[in-house]
Amino acid sequence: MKISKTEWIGMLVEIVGVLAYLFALFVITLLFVR
Amino acid sequence: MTNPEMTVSSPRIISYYTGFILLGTSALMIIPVITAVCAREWEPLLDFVISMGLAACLGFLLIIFGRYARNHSDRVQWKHGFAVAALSWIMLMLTCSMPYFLSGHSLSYLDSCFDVMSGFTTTGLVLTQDLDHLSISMNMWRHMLTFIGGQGMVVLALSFIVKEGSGAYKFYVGEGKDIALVPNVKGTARIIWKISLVYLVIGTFVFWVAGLFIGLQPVSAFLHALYMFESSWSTGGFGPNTQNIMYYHSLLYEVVAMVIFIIGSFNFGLHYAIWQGKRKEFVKNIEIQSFAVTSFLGCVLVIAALSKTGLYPDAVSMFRRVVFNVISAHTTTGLGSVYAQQFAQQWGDAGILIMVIVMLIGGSACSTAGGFKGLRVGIVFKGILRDVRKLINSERSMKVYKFHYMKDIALEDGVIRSSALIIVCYMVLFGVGTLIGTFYGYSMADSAFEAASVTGNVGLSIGITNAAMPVVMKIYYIIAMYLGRLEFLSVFALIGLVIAGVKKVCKKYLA
Repeated sequence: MKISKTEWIGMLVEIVGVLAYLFALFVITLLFVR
Repeated sequence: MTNPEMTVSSPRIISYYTGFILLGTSALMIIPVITAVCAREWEPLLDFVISMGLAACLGFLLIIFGRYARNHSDRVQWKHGFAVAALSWIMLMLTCSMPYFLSGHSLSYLDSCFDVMSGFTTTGLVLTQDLDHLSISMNMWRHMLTFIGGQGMVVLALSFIVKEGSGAYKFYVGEGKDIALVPNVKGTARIIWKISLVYLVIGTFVFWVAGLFIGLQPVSAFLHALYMFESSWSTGGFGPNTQNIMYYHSLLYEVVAMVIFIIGSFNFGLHYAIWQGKRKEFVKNIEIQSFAVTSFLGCVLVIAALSKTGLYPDAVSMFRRVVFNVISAHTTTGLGSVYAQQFAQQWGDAGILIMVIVMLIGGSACSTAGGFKGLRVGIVFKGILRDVRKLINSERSMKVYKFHYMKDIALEDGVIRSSALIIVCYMVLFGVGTLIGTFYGYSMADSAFEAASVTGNVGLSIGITNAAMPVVMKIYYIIAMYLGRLEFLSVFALIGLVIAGVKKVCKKYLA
């Protein structure tokens, strides 16, 4: 099973995108609970 | 000479392909058998060997009954594809529950069936007793079921046995995975499994490192990593311990799980598009937009409701308890970072109501997630917007409204109607589940929470699901998980075929 460079980058985009979304949710949580 | 027109009837076609799926299931039991041998668990080994034999015998019997269908795969129609998918899931539930029952960890065969249906549909509710002392092979089997159920057992089995271009796509759609990533079904199935297996390797490794970091032994850390990945990726919700994700007491473990179950709830078509370099799809896709809006609103509303109570005094504990559970519910995963009774006693009516709503919405279509899906919510929402705009604008306006789902698709009445119909079916299933709960004396809020959890294949519990709950509720919850996962159509097709068959027999003998 070979994974191309484009596929690796695609996977990274998914992971980074989800992490960014979770970080945004954490910032929102911080705003509510100070 | 036998006339094929007479012999290749619908029951034989359905029997033939269902038999192969059962044989495939029997073959899959090799993995827990090997695990049992490696872990020197001789009693579970015997349970799996017996179950394997029974599944294989049943599979062979079905294949023998339907053998005339072997050379007539061109006769496979849509109704057969749907019926095979629906019947296979029932047969799989009956055979895969044998090891559970033989292990002695289930109080009844019905409880075993409940757990298997919960696993296959990636729900995650558990009736198994003494979960903390389950054998390694049984834990392997439980998590394997949820992993395979998430990708699609029928898709896996039939992509090997049905000839390309001869009806394979009909079986594939029957299991609710109606997206063609490439023109052939085998290719599509391979892509689905490639994506899942690549994430399996990476996710298990990250969980393993996190496990070592929190002090687990290397072998134990690996097994926990494998179980938790399978559970998270498939939006399943099973855990090897009764405390579920709380067993690890680790923010790192929880964040890894969240990342995996959010990605796991994405459409396989979206994964494929992004992996092919279409990265803009990640923000343009209607399902991602719908998920981002509804999950964000859900989190903010629960945080706002609970921040007034002072239940979680700092941002980290609020994030770990509220955001984790809301996202877990929305992606229909069901991993829980609070105990069932805490939902009932601490979250209040507002918290429970928001959880019910996000559980019903669920994840993406053609993913491992349940619920009535963000795609349908997005389509119906855009449909309402379209109608409002039509009312406001000039009657002569001929503007074509569209939504983006891999490509721009025209927002036609038929698309909106079929989405709305499925949502109505889910709401009826949820309503009846809530009614049955209240009938047996549970509060409205508790009944609604549990009904939403089974209907949306979530797996979070407010405390109703346990071995002592009424048998009627166990049976209804099994049906709700099954219907919710297969999105109704396959089951309706199976029921239609059964009724047609009964009518035919009645006509034959009463005429």
